[in-house]
Amino acid sequence: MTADMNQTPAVDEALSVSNLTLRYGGVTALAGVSLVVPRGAIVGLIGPNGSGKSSFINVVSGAYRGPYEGEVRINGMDVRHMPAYRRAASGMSRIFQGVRLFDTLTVEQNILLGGHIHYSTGYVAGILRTPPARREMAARREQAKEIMALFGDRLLPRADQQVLSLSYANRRRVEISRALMTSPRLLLLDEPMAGMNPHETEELTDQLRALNHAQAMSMLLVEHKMSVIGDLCANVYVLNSGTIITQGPVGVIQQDEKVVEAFLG
Amino acid sequence: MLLAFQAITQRALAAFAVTGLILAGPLGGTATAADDAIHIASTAPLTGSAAAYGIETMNGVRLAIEQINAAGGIGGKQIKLSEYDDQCDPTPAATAANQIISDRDIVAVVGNVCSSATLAQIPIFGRVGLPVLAATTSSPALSAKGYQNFARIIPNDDIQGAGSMNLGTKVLGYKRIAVLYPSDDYGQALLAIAKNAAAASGAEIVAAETYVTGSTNDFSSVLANIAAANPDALYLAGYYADMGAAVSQSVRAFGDKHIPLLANAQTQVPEYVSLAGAAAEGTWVTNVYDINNPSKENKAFVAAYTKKFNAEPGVQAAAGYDNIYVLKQAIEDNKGSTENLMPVIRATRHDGAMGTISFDKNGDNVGGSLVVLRLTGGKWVFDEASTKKLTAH
Amino acid sequence: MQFFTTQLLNGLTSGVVYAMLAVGYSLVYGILQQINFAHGYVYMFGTFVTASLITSGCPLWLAIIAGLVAGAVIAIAVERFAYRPVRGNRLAPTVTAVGVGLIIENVARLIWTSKIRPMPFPFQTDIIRLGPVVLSPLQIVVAVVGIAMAALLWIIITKTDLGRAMRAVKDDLATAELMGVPVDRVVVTVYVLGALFGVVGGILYGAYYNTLSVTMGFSGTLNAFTATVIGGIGSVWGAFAGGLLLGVLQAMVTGYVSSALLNTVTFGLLIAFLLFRPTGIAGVHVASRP
Ligand SMILES: Nc1ncnc2c1ncn2[C@@H]1O[C@H](COP(=O)(O)OP(=O)(O)OP(=O)(O)O)[C@@H](O)[C@H]1O
Ligand SMILES: [Mg+2]
Repeated sequence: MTADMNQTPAVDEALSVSNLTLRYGGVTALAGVSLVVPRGAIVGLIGPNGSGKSSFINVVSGAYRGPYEGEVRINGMDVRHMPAYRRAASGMSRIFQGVRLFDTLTVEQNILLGGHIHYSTGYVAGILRTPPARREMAARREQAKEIMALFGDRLLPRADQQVLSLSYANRRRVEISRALMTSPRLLLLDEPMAGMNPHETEELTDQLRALNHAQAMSMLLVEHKMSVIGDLCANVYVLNSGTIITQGPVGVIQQDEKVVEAFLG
Repeated sequence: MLLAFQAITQRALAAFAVTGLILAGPLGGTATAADDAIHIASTAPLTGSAAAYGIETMNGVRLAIEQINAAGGIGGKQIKLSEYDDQCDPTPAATAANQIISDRDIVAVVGNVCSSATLAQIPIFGRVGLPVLAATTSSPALSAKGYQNFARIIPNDDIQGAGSMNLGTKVLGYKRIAVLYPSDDYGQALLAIAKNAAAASGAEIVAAETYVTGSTNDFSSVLANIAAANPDALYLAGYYADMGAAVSQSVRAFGDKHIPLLANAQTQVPEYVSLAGAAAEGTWVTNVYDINNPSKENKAFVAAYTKKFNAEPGVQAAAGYDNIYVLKQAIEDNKGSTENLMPVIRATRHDGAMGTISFDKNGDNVGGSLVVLRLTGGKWVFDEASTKKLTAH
Repeated sequence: MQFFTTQLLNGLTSGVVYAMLAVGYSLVYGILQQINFAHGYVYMFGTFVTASLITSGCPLWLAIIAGLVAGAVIAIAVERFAYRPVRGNRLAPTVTAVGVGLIIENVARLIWTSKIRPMPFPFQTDIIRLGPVVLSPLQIVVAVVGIAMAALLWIIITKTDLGRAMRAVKDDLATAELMGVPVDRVVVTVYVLGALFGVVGGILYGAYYNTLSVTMGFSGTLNAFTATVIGGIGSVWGAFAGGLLLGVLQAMVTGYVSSALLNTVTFGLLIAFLLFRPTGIAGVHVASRP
C-alpha cells in the first residue's frame, strides 16, 4: 500500500486517460480518447447511444480485460496490468449501466461486500471469530449503516431484505452504497439516474453532491439527463463515435454546433 | 543408415536362429528308442510372468526324479525327463505339445502349471493317447470337459472352495453358516459351492451377503444382517483385503459374541492379518499344502528340497514332486508297463508331501489332501487333528 | 426394532462420511458450476498422509494436521495449474482434472503402493451397548465431527466475510471482482475448504472402516458424487442431506432387501436424479444462474 502511495505523482488527478483506443474486433469503440478528472471534481461524460461511454468506464474499471492502446492512470497509478480487484483497492469504484447486485444476498450483505477488500483480519481469523475479527465485523456493519443512512429511510428498514424484492430505485441505491463501502476516491457512475422518476433523480443528485463536498470524492458521471449534468458537473466531455468532439462547461458545450449535430444526427 | 540396417538384420537373424534351435527339439537330452529308460516330458512356464511357478514346479519334479533314479529307478529303469517351456500361454503351449507327441518314446506328460496352457495342450496329447498328469492347474473347466487322458495332483478350485465349508460343517460341527462373498464370478462360484457343500452335510446357509470387491469398504450393514441371522460361523468367501476389512469391522456387528471364521486359502496371507487385526484371531483356513504339515512324507520332502535348492518349498514344488511319485506308483501298479497308463493313474492312491492323493473319474484329486491351518497368536499354525478329520471325510 | 436401529445408525454413519466428501463437490460446483473431478484424488492423498503417519507412530493430532495440510497444498496446486488456466471453459477443466487426478493417484501408488492398508485409530474395536443396540465409540466420533463440520460450514458461509465473498462470486464473479473481491484467492480458498472437508471425511472413513486404498480416489467417489447429486449439486446443505439420505437408504436396502442390489440402487438413484431431477432434493436451479 505504501509503495503505491509513493508512486502517486504530485499532479493530483483522480483519473487521467490519454489517447485511449479500444477495438472490439473490427469495431473501433474508442479512438484516442483523453480525459482528466481532477481530484475532488465531478466530470461529465455525455454522448449519443453507442458512442463509447460505457466502454470507456469498462476499460478504466477493469471490467474490460482485453488490450487497449493509450494510458489509464487512476489516482496516479498506471492500471494496465492491475486486476480489477486491485483497482478497487486503490480507491476506485463504479456502478453499472444496468444495476448489478448479488441476488442471493440481502441489502446489508451486498453493501458489506464492498468492504471485503479492506478486511485486515484474514479468512482464518474470520472463521475462528477472533476478537479482532469480531470487532472489525462490527465496525464494517456500523459503516454500512452510516452509508445506508445517506439515503434516509430508503434502505435502513430494508437491510435484511433480499435485494430482488426492492424497487429499481432502491436497487440503484444499494449499488451506490456498495460502491461507497469500498471507500473510493474516484467513483465511476454509468447512468445512475436511468429509470428514476424526477423526484428520485433530484434526491440522488443532492446526495451525490453531498458526497462530493463532504468527502472530496471525485466522480466521472455518464448521464443522459442534461439537467443532472448541469447541476453537478463543472466540466463535461462529449463523446461521439469513440472520439471526444469537445469539452468544457455545460453552458458552453450546449451551444456547440458539433454537439447539437451529434445528438440530433 | 546401412550400418543400422545391417545391425538389425543380424540381430533378427540371430534371434531367428535361437528360436529355430528351441523349436528344433527339447532342451533336455535327446531321447532314442535304443536306451531302456522311461521317457517323460514336462511342460511348464520356464520363462514369462509365471516362470517363478513353473521353475519351482520343475524343481519338485527334478528332485523326485533324482531320488527315484538314485534308488534304482522304476523297476530298474531310469527316468529321463525332457523339459518344455509353455510360457503359460496357449500358443507356445500348443507348439510344445506338438513337439512332445512327435517324440514316440515319451510315455507321460507332467508338471503343468497353467490351466489356459493345459487346455490348449490336452486335445493334442489326446490324438496319440498320451496321459497328462498335471501339477497345479486348478480350473474346474479342465476336468469338466471329460478328457480321457487327464488327471491332476492339486484339488481343483471347486474342491478347494468346498474345503473350508466341509471343515466348518463336518469337522467343527457348525449347522448355521453365513457366507460373505464378492459379487463377481469368483464370488458367485464360491457361493454355489458353499450351498452344495452345506446341503451335502446337512448344514444351512442362514445368510448370504455380497459386496463389490475394490469399492465396498463399509461392511457394517451386511455384517448387521449376518449378525441378525445368528449363524454358528461365518464363511469368508472373498479376497483377503476385503475379508480383512470386513473382519476388522465385525466386532461392532457381533458385539462381544465370538463368531468363528472360515476362510479360503488366499486369505492365508499376512495382509489379511494386518487388516483384520485382533478380530482375525482363530480364523480357520484350508489350503492344499503347508510346509509345516508334520506327515513323514512332507518332512522328508521339505528336508530334501531345502538341502538341494537352499530354499523353502511351496505348493508348486510339492505338487511337482508328488506328481512324479504318483506316476512311479502307477507304473509299478501297472507291473512296470507304460502301456495304457491313464486308467491306472486314476486308480492310484498315494500319500505324498501334499497329503493323500486319489482321483475321481474325471481325474480330479479327491483324496482330500487339504490341510487345515488356524490363525493363532497372529501366526498360521498347522492343525494336525482337523487336517486328519477333514481328510478322513 | 433393534435391527432397524442398528441399520439406521450404520446408514447415518456412512452418510456423514459421504456428506464430508460431497461438500467438496458442492462448494466448487456452487461457485464455478464446475464438477471438481480431482476432488477424490486430493482427499485420498491427504488421508494417506494421515494414515501412514499414524502407522509410523506419529501422534494422532499431528498426523491429522499433516493430512489436512497435504490436502490443502495439493488442492492449491491443482487449482493453480489444472483449473485456473482453463477457468470459464466448460469441458477443459474436466480433462485437466482427470489428468491431474491420475498423476496424484500414481504418485500415491509410488509412495504407498497399491496395497490396501489398515488405518489404526483409537476405539476401533470398542463397543458400547445401548440396550440391545451395539454402538461403536467411533460412530459417536463420526457424528460429533459431522455436526461440528456442518456448524463450521454454516459459520463460514453465513457469518464470515469470506462466506459473503464466496456467495458473491457464485452470484456474479465479474461484479464481485470489480467490487474488490480477489476472486482467485476466494476460488482457491473454496478448493482448499473442499479438500479439508474431504480429508476429514477420508480420515473418518479410514478410522471407521479401517481400510484404505489409493483407488478410493476413484471408487470412493461414486457414493460421494451420488450424495452430491441427490442433494442438489451446488448446494452444500443438499450435500449433507444427500449424504445422510444415501447412507440410510443403502443400509435399509442392505438390511431389508438385498446386499446384491446395493450398487444397482446407488447407480439407479444417480441416473434417476440426473435424468429427472438434476436439481436434487434441494431443488437449486443452478443451471438458470448467469
Ligand atoms: N463487448 C462488446 N463487443 C463488441 N462491441 C461492443 C461491445 N460493447 C460495446 N460494443 C460496441 O461498442 C460501441 C460503444 O458501446 P458502448 O456501450 O460503450 O456505448 P455507450 O455510449 O455506453 O452507449 P449507451 O448510451 O447506449 O449506453 C457500440 O457500437 C457497441 O455496439
Ligand atoms: Mg452505455
